[in-house]
Amino acid sequence: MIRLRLIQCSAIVLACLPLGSIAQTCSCASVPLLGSMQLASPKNDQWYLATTYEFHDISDLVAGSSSVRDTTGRDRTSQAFMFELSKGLNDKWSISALLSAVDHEREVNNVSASASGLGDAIVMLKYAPKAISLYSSTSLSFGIGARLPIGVDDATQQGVDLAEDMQPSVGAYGGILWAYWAHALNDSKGARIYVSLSHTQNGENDRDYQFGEESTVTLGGAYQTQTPWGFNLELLYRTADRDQRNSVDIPNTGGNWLDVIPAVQYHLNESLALSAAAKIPVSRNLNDSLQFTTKYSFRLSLSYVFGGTG
Amino acid sequence: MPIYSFRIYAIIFSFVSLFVVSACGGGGGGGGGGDNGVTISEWLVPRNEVVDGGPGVDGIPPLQNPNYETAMTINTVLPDDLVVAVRHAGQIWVYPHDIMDWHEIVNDGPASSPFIMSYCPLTGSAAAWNGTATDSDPSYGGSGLLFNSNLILYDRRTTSLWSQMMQTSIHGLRIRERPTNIQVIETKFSTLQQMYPDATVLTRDTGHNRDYDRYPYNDYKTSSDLLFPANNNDNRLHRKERVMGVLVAGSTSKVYQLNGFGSLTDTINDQVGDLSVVVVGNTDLNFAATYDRELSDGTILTFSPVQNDLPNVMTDGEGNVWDIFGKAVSGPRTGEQLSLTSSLTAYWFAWTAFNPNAQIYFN
Repeated sequence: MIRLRLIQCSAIVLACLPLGSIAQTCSCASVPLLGSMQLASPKNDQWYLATTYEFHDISDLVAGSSSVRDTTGRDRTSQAFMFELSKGLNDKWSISALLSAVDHEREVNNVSASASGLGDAIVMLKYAPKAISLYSSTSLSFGIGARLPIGVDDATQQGVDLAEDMQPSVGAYGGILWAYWAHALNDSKGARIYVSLSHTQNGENDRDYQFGEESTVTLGGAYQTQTPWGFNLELLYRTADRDQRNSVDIPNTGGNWLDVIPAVQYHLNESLALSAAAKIPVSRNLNDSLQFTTKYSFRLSLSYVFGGTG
Repeated sequence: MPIYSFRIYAIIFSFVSLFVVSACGGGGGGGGGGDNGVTISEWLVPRNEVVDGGPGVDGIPPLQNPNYETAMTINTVLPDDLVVAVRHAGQIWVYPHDIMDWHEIVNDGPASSPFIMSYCPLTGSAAAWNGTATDSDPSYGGSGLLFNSNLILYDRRTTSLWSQMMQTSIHGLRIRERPTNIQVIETKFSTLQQMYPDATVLTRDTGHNRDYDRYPYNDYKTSSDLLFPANNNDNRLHRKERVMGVLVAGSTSKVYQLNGFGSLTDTINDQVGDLSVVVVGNTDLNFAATYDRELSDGTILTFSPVQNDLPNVMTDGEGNVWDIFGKAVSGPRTGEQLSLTSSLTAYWFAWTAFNPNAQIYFN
């Protein structure tokens, strides 16, 4: 029983993490990274550590909102490893940092190209004026952050710069705003609903390319059972402006996406948890005449909470 | 298990994860996208000005011996739609821009006489090159690369890269080779129908699911904006003004504005460097062509326009009548063919990107 209560305490931290809320803000050269930053809000002196693997299959060809049969034999995937560290500065303030390493693969008609290396980093300062506890059923957090272009944005294929979407890093600074609200539905705090919002502004890189602004809205529900298992279900809406080069809109970029993200967590003990999530498109309405977009993606994550005063 | 062990495990796992990907490089790899495995390192153009357009090798799918209908029966091409016409192997082959916008390259022609038709929607330029029937694979594809916003093709036999507007292999085993050009005529479809009603026109039955009614680059045709870099910004004309450019000796060039001919067919007997050229065009009918006025016997002809007799567009002082493809159809030189010039129709910005300081012909 004591073990279960401990699991539920850590679940307060873990389950309240929107899986896709900030997902798109750490896009590494245009690839949205599902749940790339989990935005834990650790308590005073508490540490939160997570490592995440993501896989994206970007082979759906879409005209507006209609699927188009691709006849080019295209295979486009991205993988990312992320390492996130958060530290509670006090009961309300915390800080997070995320490092990423990204691998892009593109194969068309059996001719392949690839790029890999360090991706962008994110640092974020978070303020949580309310947290779900024995005395409160509502949680509220805000965050402001920056994306730092510390990664590889000049990957080449035999000397020729690869396209922006193949670069591990966006190559430009960016700003992130984030807000999160959650409400516990029962006394045990095991079930909750949440909403999160995010907005990302991207700068222009040294090739005069600028990824479009992105905003997301996530509606989610989480349930932590009386066992080590917990479950989430999210609906993620994302809208992105067209990318630009020299302030000129690039056709066939940007649009609107609606995805559903089911997820499961397993708490190995009071501190350590494994989670898995998949992103499945529900609908999309993409700009202009034709775009490749994500067919599906999934994420595996290991997180660890330690230290702190509770 | 002690908490301390968990901390160590988690930290090690994280850094191993990062290392696995980071250790792969920090750069590209693989066998294509850049130059399809070509190992010769020399480029004829600055390599850092070659850009990856994004779709990858053949990501914009070329067409291979597609389907045709005759100009009089096809109903998917509108009268004012621009088309590219090629005369080859005794036949007129017609390629609507709205299909070429989506495919850019057609490997075509009979097996005994293949040719490659290419159209770059970003530079508004069309070219047709003779293939080699004895090649193990005479076909070309799209490399996915651009130079000065212009299509770079690759040949499938050697994977050498070819700049469409330079009409030269710029990288690979066939570097510096030039293809044999075939004259192309760009015009609007109603003019083409008047000229060659029996021409075979590429149909939308391409095997690819594309919305050919939709131009894929939004307002690019009319906007002054570019999507990819190009050298030598020259604002004497609007960037997207269509011009017929003539290049002489690789350095001297002159352009003729397609909207500068007027409503009647006009001929311009001109000199570009050492080359005597004739340019024939009609703005309303939307065509222009240029030929070398000097014949192999040393005769330099002077041309005047022919009205209302398409596809015949000009005559000369000897009484010959010449068609739009530069072939004498009547007169003492019947059957003779005027020599092609090194010329292309393209957007102004593209012509000047490849040919800085071009002269502009003004009436």
